[in-house]
Amino acid sequence: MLRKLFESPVLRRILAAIGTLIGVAVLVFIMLRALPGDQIQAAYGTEAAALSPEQRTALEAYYGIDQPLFVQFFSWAGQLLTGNLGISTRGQETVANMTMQSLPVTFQLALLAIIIALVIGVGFGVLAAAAKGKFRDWLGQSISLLGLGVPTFLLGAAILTIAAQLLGFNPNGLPYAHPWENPLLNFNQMIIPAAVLGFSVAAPILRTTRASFLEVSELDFVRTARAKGISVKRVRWNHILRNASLPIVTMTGMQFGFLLGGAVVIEQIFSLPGLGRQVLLAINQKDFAVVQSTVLIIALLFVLVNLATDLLYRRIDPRVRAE
Amino acid sequence: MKAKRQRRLPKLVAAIGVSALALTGCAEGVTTDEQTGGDGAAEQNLVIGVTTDINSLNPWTATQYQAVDVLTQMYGSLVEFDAELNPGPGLAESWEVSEDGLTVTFKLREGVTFSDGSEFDAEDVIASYETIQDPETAAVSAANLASIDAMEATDPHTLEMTLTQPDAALFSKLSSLGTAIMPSDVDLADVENNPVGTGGFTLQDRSPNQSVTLAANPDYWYGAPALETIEFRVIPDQSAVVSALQAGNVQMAVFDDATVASTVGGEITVEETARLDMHVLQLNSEREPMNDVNVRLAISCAIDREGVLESAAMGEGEVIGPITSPSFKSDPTDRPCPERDVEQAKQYLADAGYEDGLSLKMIAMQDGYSTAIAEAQTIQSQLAEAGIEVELEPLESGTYVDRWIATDFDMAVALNGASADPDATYGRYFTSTGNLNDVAAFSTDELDALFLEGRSESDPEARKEIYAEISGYLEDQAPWIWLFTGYNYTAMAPQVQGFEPLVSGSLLGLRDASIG
Repeated sequence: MLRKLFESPVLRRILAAIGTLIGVAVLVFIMLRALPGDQIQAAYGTEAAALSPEQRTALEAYYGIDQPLFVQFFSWAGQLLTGNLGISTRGQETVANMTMQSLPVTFQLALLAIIIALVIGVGFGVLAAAAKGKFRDWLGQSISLLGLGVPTFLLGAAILTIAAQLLGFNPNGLPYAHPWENPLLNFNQMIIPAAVLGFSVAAPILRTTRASFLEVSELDFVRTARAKGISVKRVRWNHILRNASLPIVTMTGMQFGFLLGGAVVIEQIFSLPGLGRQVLLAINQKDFAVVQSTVLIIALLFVLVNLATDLLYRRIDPRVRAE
Repeated sequence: MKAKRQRRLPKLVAAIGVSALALTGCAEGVTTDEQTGGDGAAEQNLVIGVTTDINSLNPWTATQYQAVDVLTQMYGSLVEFDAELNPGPGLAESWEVSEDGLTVTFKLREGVTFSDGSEFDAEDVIASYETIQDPETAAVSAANLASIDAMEATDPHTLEMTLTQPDAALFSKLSSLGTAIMPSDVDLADVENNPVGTGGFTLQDRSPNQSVTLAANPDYWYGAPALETIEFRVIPDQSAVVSALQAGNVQMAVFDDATVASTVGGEITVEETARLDMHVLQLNSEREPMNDVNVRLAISCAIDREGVLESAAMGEGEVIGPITSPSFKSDPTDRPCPERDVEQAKQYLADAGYEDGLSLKMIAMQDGYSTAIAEAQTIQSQLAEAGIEVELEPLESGTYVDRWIATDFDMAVALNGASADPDATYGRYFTSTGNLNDVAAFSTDELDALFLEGRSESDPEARKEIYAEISGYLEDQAPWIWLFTGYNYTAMAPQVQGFEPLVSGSLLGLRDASIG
């Protein structure tokens, strides 16, 4: 009975996920402490050198870095288990509150980017595969090369500068607006960064689509479908694409999980207060609780996306379900 | 099943379309409001673009530039600087120093209130200074108050201060944000949420990583500011700040990078002000071979400061001697080699017994300020011509600061802060009891005596002579090589009026600014 339970793929996945999260927690904790400089140095800069020994002792107690490392780790981990993500040492804001503000930003950006990437990637991927070796194939391949080759920071900064200088259009210079506060402004602020991200993420999706599509279109059932008189278009989009979709779903899931980790560079350039910037700033200021808990949240999101991808497999492909 | 799904699809698309239309319709009005608010055409709302969020609202522990800029608007100190950085009245209207220089009597301004409504008096000053001196507070200005022995409120608006030794630099030190006055009953644990000060503005709103908004204090003793609000908006990327200026989203920004400032253009004006902080090459005089003054002088003579300024900062700045504050400024040609002199440098090296040259290591910060690496590389090639081989170690800022604090370097390219009074700038570095003396790695009895003399002298002219002497002594001993100071670039939209940037870099002038 117990053995059977352990053989259940769902439970195995959950156990693996928990193991991953624990590993991430330990790793982040150690890496943060291995970085040069501590909170005192981050807060005071070179003025830290001017602190008297008494002042330094007081600060170490304030930041809790006078405790042995394992005490620090378990007090953080213990709080996590009670649902307390900790408090930022600057601003006294709870990490939970900060994340409630920044996560929706990153989630929306990732979602928009992945939609754009899917439209470009799958669209051009199918067109390229259907016309292998012809102009459309060449066009698709060029788009994917551009997406891979042009760095997002360059494309993003260039678009931002040109739009602001020539058109006076710079919604990202205004304070960030949540979609429920001002949907139009939010859309204006999001669309360019999402397009830049989507364009770069489209490349791997396009390549995967093309390869998988070519592979499936050689199969017998395609010829059968054509022989039965189904139109080329219908065969292409309904029959081949559906059967070619597993690797595309995998690739999309991976890219989506990656985007949820926060697109730091794009968030910086376009002043979007997302998860990536939350982590970056916290690393710079050695705000340990914020980095640790936020990275853990990102890891959790990644695990969840992977899980969702697996479930989607089962829905798309009856063979996976049957296993 | 399939048929059903297909039928539903067009409806869904239609629904999305309609709701998008609806959103656009209702959002338009909001955007228009937003834009007039952002442009501030009719209203006195100033938006300043900054590249990073402030890290503290506590004036006593704040050192970050951005935090200092914001907190200067919210808090007040006993003393304020005039345009030449001479100490003048602030929360103290006037002061008198006794004959022996050991008693200072401050006459405090009456009718000043804190932002929580409570009255400002001498007890608040005493409580603030005592808290700053308490090591538990970990205040950066504790050392500035070291000469204070006792304080007494002879009446609510008169403060008598007894000093352990005369301190002519005291008034300059009491002007810093680090000695700002908070109410005597302040709860330090709550300052990050409820800052209480006497400044021209109060905290209205703070959203982490996005913005800090201040509202005018109508009861400000200086007179209510013309601006109703100031928003410090975080735009992390410097070129994005430029874009925001051009698009009119922000009306003001301060840059320290000439390259970025030069891209602004348009109708935005950019004003240059000399900065006090000094680009220097620190030598570790406690290590071989820099413990020999001839080696240090060789380095000093081998460096072409104009060349460093030219290549690292496009010539945007001034070559300096040790003291950069306007009233005490050193003559940059008053040094052993007024011009670069490679032959003289080789002579000094020979005198030190290194006629065949020597090799040294130099650290520089990669990511702290834009000019460091270029400075380091120019110095490296200049020293090579005099036979000094330099190995450059570019370091990430955290590692750099670690090494700097531990004085773990032969030479360090550094950007060191400076104050209006040379005693406040150098007393901590170059006197044997200074709290940064370990890092400066240099002190002598003569210097100790000179600094003591400078503190004890109350006549301003006589003080200038003493610091000129200190400046000459430092050049002759060359514990550091003084290179140049850069500029601040204050970019302002044409509608911003009345703001004067100060040499200290202070944004206190925002209390005189308005939008026209």
